[in-house]
Amino acid sequence: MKKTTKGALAAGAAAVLLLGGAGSLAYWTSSQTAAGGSLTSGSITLSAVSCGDWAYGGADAGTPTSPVTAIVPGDEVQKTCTGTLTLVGDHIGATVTVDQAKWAASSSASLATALQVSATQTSPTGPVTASGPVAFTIDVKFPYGGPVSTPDATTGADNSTQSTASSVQTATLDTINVVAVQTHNGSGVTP
Amino acid sequence: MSSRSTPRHRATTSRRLPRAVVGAVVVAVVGVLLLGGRGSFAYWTSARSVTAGSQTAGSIALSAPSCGSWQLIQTGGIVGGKPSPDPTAYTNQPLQPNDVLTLTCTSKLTLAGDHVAGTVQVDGEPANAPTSPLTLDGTTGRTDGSPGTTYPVMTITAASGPNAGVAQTRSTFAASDNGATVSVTFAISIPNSDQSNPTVDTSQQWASQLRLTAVQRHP
Repeated sequence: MKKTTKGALAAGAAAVLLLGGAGSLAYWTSSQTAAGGSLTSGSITLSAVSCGDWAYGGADAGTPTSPVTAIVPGDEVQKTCTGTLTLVGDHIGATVTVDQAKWAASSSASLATALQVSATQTSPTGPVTASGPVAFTIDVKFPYGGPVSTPDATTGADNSTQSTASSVQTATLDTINVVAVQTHNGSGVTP
Repeated sequence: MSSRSTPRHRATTSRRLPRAVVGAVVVAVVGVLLLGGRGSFAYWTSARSVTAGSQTAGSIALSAPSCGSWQLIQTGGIVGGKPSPDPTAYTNQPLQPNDVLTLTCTSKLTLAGDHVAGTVQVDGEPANAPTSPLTLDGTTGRTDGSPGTTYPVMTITAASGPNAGVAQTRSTFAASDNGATVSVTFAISIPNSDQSNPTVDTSQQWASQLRLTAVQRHP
């Protein structure tokens, strides 16, 4: 026989065997299904962070008690910003970082140059494994007798940082980002 | 057949992509994998931004001084049989030794800032100081021996608070003195000396160069 004829016969026989064998063999089965269960992932959530009012700090702490209206050289003012970190997971941990505070480009240039600003994270101060508060303090110092960027022609003082009736000098803080990064078991190691 | 005359390996090779093309495709695939992986590590983050507010600078300002007219204290003069310390309007009377000419100027103090404070200073331009032997300020001499007055005399009259409307002899100010009136009385005294004919009246020129300066201090 030609090779092609043999091939055709072999293919036909195979098809018959395959089709004819479906469900008709003499043996038993018993089957059950088992619920494999489910897994739920945890979460890391930082709530909205809000800041309180400015208050006088340093040597002037608590005086006056009313909100800060306008600062003068020699003043130090502070405010505290807080949020909440919520951790869900048996082995979840986190590290929280706070951007350094800086003045926005829209600030009065001379005032922003004169004002020393810093943000200090007070909570958490290291890797954490449980939910808790997030807090940081912003501190602004307006040095008295510090470096003069634009001396007054008559007195040599730095009147460029002073508000006038026609030009109020304002320094605005840039947005401060707070980031919580998940770690495993609070190892403190992040990618 | 003509097809059999063609070598078999040549036909196979012609269907493959050239090695250079294959290499380029591999490089491109690797590149896509690398780029796609950037920043996609398997961990979680949660981030928030907060607007932390602003700070406004305070200010201290003195308005342009407003001056009255020159007053003459004829310390050595006799009016009604008594020494005359009371000032009278100066109308170009001849000046005599121990006479004092005074000028009172006022300026409004405008302050902003919770801790704004300072002192008001007064001075004149040295280049425009009174011509000798006239002296700037100093103490009035009185021929009757009564205590004189040391000039300049500065008072600050608060606009509000417990001392509102009261002229206090002081040169320091605090935040509560916003809106206060600063009054300064300057004087030119004519010394009792042997020098003759101090006839040059430079008072007006000198007066135009008087300067009040409010200097901020932090309490």
